[in-house]
Amino acid sequence: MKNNLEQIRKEKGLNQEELGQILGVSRQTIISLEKGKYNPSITLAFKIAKYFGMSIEDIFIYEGEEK
Amino acid sequence: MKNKFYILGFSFGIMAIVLGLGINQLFDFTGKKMLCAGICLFGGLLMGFVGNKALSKRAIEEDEDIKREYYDERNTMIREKASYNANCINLILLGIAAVVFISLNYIIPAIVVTVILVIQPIVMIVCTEILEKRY
Repeated sequence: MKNNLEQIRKEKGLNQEELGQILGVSRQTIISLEKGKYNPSITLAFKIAKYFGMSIEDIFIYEGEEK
Repeated sequence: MKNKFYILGFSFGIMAIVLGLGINQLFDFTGKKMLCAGICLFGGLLMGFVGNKALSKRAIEEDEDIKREYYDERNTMIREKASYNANCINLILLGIAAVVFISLNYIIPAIVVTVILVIQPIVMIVCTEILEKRY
């Protein structure tokens, strides 16, 4: 699953550690999310969307099942 | 509630060690040393396990960064996957140990290891049933 998290975070002027603290996750999780290596839980996806004032679909782009 | 569990566990550990040392000092029978060593080892393991749990809990409660790292959903997923993989590897190692014990004609260790091998999947099924009811 692709996402625009890195871009949105940078627009907000936050670093990964700060965003991690705000969302209650580790910096490593933010890195993995931005790289698309880790898909967040629905709770975390909602937290991210709520924090940035966007919908989940604006941040995360579902492209079907990975093969 | 949890603190009571830690205190109880730690007390049992100390009591087991004292019991082991006491039996060693007061009684005389065949196999005494092995029994005492076993009881003391159990007590030590219990103390170590409970002590480790208590210290981890304290660290999580006192340090926000450790708390965040501990409850982080990705770390939780990694821990769960690592535990599952470690369990699979443990089963294979126990199987190898059982074969080695049988080939060396160590009957009792072979029985113990085989029983553990049989119990392990049953424990897993029971845990799965409990978790299925919860979620």
